Amino acid sequence: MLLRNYLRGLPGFQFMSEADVDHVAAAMRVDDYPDQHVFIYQERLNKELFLLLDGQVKVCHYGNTGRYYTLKTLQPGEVFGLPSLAQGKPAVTSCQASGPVKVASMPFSAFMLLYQPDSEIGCRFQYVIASQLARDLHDRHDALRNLLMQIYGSKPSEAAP
Amino acid sequence: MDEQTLFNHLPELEGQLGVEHVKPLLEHFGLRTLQEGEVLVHDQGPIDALYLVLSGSLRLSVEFGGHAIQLGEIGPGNWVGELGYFSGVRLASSTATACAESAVARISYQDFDALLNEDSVAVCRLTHGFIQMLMRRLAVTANNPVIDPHGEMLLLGDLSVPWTELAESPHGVVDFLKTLLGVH
Repeated sequence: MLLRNYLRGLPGFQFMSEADVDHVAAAMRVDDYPDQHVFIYQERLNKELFLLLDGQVKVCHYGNTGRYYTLKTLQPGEVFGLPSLAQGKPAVTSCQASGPVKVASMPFSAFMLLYQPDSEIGCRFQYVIASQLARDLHDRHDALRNLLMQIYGSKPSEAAP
Repeated sequence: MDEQTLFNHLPELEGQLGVEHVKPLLEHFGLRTLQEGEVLVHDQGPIDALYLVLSGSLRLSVEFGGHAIQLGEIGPGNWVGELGYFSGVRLASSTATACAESAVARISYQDFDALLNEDSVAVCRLTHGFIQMLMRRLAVTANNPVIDPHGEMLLLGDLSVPWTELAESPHGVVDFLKTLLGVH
């Protein structure tokens, strides 16, 4: 599989030129990882951007009640590790392989070069990042809505129209 | 709404976008005033625009069957509708309700796309701000909701990103090293 061809089909990459995609692909390295491999530890600084190519990765969180739960199971084509990398702050979640996975990773130095908002490629790269973050937050809101559904059932409350 | 509210926030907008990039954005803006308790967008309702909070604040909540989880409040400089724009799902992901009399500036998704062609730098800098907001909201929603003494489900944490932080962008070697080392 050619990474550049794979990237071309991902959401958010539609505004990137052929040369842009070549640059992003050149900055990434593809590896296979075993089941349970931890890519990101909660409360630790993450220094790579990851793109899941094959398999599943669970995004988990030790919550304020001391419970450990899965926020999301990433599917191939999803990018992870963004908030900690972009903010330079410890990760809020951990990311662990669920079964063997194939992942492309981009080192921090390359990420920072691409993440500069005052360059053309940087602008288009930011669109990719915003698209992934929006999908993550959309999924999280769905999960919260499902939580309400589990608590209150599918029946609307009396106050509902 | 009187345009004075928008004018009052020009310094912040100029700080975020740069003086020369504010005008193209303003040309696409429509202004709207919300009364306390008025709903700007409904969770899962159709959405076709981005809204910038200029004054007051909006309370965001995820809803199902008349029940809600309060996500938090967002203040001036923060936007609503960016999730629908970047996810491609043209449905509001939360209900946005005015906490007090509030003023918002509206730009349709269509006009935002047009702005991309007119002034890509402005869109790029706005996108940088959207990324800060999305990361903040992801961090807050990582925790499960708690129930307050009134029986209301809510998330703990500050959802709103100050205008000053929305304008920050990584520049130069010093910022690069600070980020690398996790220094703030």
